[in-house]
Amino acid sequence: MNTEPKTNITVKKRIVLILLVVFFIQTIIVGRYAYVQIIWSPQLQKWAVEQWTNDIRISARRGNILDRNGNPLAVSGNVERVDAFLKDINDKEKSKKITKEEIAEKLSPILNMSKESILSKLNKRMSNGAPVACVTIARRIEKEQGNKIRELKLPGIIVSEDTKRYYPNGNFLSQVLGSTNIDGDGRSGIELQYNNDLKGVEGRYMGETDAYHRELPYKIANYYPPKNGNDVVLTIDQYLQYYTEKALERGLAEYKAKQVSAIIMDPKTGEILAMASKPDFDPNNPVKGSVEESVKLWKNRTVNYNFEPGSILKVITAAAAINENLVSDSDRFVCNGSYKVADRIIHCWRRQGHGVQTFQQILQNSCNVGFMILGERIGKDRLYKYYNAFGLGKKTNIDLPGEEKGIIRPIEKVGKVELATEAFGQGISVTSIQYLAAFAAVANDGKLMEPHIVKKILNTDENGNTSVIKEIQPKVVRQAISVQSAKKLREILESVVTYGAAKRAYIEGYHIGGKTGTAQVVENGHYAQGKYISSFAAMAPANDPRFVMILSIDEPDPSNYYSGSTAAPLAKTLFEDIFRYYDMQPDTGKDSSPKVVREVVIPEVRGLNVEEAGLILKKNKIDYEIEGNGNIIYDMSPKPGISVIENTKITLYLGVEKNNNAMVAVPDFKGMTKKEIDDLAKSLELNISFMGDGIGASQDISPKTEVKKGTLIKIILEQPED
Amino acid sequence: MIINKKLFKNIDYSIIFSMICITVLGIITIGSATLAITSDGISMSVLKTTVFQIVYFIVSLIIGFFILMVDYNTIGSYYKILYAGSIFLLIVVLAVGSVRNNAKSWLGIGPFGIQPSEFAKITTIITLSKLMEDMDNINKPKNLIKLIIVSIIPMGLIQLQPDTGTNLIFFVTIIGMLFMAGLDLKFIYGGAIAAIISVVGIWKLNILKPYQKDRILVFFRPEMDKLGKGYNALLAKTAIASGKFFGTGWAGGLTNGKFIPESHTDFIFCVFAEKWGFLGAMLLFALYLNIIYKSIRIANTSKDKFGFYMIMGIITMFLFQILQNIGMDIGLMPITGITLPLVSYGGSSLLTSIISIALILNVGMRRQKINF
Repeated sequence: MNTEPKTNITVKKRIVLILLVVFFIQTIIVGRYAYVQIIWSPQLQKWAVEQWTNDIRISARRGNILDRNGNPLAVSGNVERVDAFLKDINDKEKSKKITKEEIAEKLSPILNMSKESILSKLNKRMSNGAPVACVTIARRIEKEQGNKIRELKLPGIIVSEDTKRYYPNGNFLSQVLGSTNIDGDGRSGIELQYNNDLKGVEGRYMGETDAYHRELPYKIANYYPPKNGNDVVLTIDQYLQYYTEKALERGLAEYKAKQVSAIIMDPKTGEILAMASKPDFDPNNPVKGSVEESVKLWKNRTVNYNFEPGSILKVITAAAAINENLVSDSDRFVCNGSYKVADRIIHCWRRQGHGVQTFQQILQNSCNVGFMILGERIGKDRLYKYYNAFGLGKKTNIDLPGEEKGIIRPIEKVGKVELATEAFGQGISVTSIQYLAAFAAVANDGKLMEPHIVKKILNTDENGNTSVIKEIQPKVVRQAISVQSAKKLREILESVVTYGAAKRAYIEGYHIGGKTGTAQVVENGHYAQGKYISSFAAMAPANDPRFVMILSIDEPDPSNYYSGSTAAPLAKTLFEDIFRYYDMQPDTGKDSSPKVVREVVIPEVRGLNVEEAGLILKKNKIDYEIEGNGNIIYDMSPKPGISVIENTKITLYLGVEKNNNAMVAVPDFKGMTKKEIDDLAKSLELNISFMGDGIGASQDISPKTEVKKGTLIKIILEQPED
Repeated sequence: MIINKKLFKNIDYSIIFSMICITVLGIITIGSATLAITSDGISMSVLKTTVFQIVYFIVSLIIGFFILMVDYNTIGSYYKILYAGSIFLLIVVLAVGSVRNNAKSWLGIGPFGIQPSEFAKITTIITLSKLMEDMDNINKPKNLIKLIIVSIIPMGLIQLQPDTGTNLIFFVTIIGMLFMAGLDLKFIYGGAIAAIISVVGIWKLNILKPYQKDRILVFFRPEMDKLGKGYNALLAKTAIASGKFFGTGWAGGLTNGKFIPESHTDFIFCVFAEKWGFLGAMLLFALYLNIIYKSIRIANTSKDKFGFYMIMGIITMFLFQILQNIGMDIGLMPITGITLPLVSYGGSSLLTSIISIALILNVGMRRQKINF
């Protein structure tokens, strides 16, 4: 067996030859490979994209969006689509069974499309002239049309399900819901944030993708059935949302504002119960006019915008002071209208000052001087500790797209002046949701919750069984302040609504805590003249809050922009609706319900008969007694214009004729808005001239002076910064 | 089993190193390709194919080691039994085998399956080498007919499965061996003419199935019908193209999403080139070429003709499989179901490749005559 290998010349030559063959093969493989991967690559990739965009995607049925009680907010309607598989058609055309013209002719009346446009689709070719496997003829057609096409039994023409998004309530909740684009993908709001859950997995018809190349069935395209999307259940309560939107619509019109927005949240769980901004849009028809303008309306004012909210931030400063034990009930803060910080004099919004105040009063009066003093006591390190604890300058991680994170000045850039102004709420930007989350921490015994708007995600399988696949649990971010500090602060906030700057939100028998804030709009780094944002943050009931709310009015008409007279009364109407909806009864207990001494201005009733006068006085909560005889009121005491405590008894003197020389008392116009002054003066037949802008500060004829009707009263207005 | 320790000094360890590197790269790529097949993340099938391939690799290495221990001439002396055994298996598979990809080529044993045609490749190479060694001149008609009959029996059985791809390997390998054994040029020219005639005849007489014809047509112009017959050819190139110089990495790329069929077996090179780029592919080529050139050197120094012919058969087989498999991905060759040695997923293919390499090393370590 073991003989010498035969080393004849042929074998040697052939070994050399095989080496050459190996070398040759190696060269062409490497060369060709490099050509494909490096040089041909861009062209190949272009073809690949073309290829895949020519596959027909069968959209999965997009999941519904529901409110917390299961009411539908966004649903997918059942519509159908028509696709053509050109290979089948070409084969039938070759065997002369049917022509493309005939197909186009039959489809044209059902689809309301011209024969030519259908024909051009059937003759479609790729950019390099290659035929395509399938084309879409029409999308989102009605079921009836689809059935008619099915009956025609045309070769290669396939009718299948398609989806169309409907928003049954139109503009309702539009910025939160968002909308979808032509491909059915979410473009904003929940539709975008939860696109992957809602979308499902789209099915696909593929031209020629058989997994086993050993058996290539050329005619039939592969079909992967779609997997339907999941339903998303929001924490939104449809009714609260409706009340909120109704109030905002009213506010937008009444205050001639650029924009109004509000959020209602459950402080204990962080669940958003209502969230809206106006103006809004109809997600069924999201693009109206220019695209740019439309996109602006899609944005959610409460989440996507930073703004300087002003005095509502005093709540955070107050929380810091209380939690660090830096204030006591015996502390007194003296406001002379300004305060010197470093070498600068910073004014209080009330130039004449607030006098001697307690800690509670500086919050009621929103006294800037008081808060500057507080800021000095707290110091910037501790103040920033609370900014961080309350989550200012950070995203809340709410499950909505495009959240802004607010702007706080870096601590190293905070000097004495910055500390003083930040302490009373200037120079800090927040988003509504961020502020509300912080404010809710006060309502929730100091625990900062992560706000969220989706409650759970539901899956419905092929058999129609629904299961919860994800449920979002309340998430505590941190304990921002102690339980006791939060309780103390809530009591003070309640006094702000009962007695302080927010008293126009007060509803008798209900414990509402809140804080107003009016700030100038920052434009290009400067405060813009005549542009304000009025905000009001509130919680109720203040002793154990069930909900918290923030309401902001952007750029209200400059004649009436003060938060206490815009945002607070608007919030009041919303509170009334909410209390009714939750069936919350007024508190009639003696110590818990603060009885407020309210003053009313006596209206002019002279010249009216007794019945008419009685109605007007009753409406104004004034009691009366009648003296003398006659059917017309001749005179009254005290005179109209005088402020009295509610239910005071006044005396009406009857006569037989109208008193043409009747005197009226000059009312106290201080603190009234321009519009209120105008209305009051008109009813008393007084003439008014204004100086300055803002709310009533002083008047040339002192209150209670009796003057003749038609007397001119000069009133100086001042800008309330709060 | 008695073995002289000195023999280990003669082993070419660079071949073993290349073999292990290629297989490990292959296993990683298989993991990546099967990850692609299941679009919803890492599922069981990824683990299954990867773990199976690792098990096959370990088993193959053990079997390869035992083959090294036995003198190749001892193995050669059992050629009749080996040949008969493989023919027997090929008959069994036709009787009770399972059909995969339209071919009855699998013998199922539990969860595993073997492909007798893979093993028949080696037994046929051994048998032909042994027969040729004993012939003084293979060009004698008697000898040539004997060799042709020995070759045609397994090929015929394989054609009944049918598995044209494997038969193509047989054909090229046998031609290569005959050529190295000094086949007369007139037979080669005659064969070439006969081949051309038969190709034309096969084409005209419709012996090929329509899909086979299409594949050959598509080979010449895959872009003429991107969605139809040229789909695989073009997709393969597109996947390679998207790899560019550095590759897309383990989890990236087009092949994630089941667009490439058989991406873990026949089209594994596409995935490899996409994931590891030009750089990775060059490394793979270098490792293959190391095995091939070193094997030719071993063949040249082998002490007998049996070893020489056997190595020549094996490297012809390897070379053709590499050329065909990679060639079809880059548009050099028409598409066939031929695996890439050591890289493609599959126990039988991997085991055959490792046994073949063990046989080459076996010849190499026993090249010196034993001097006492």
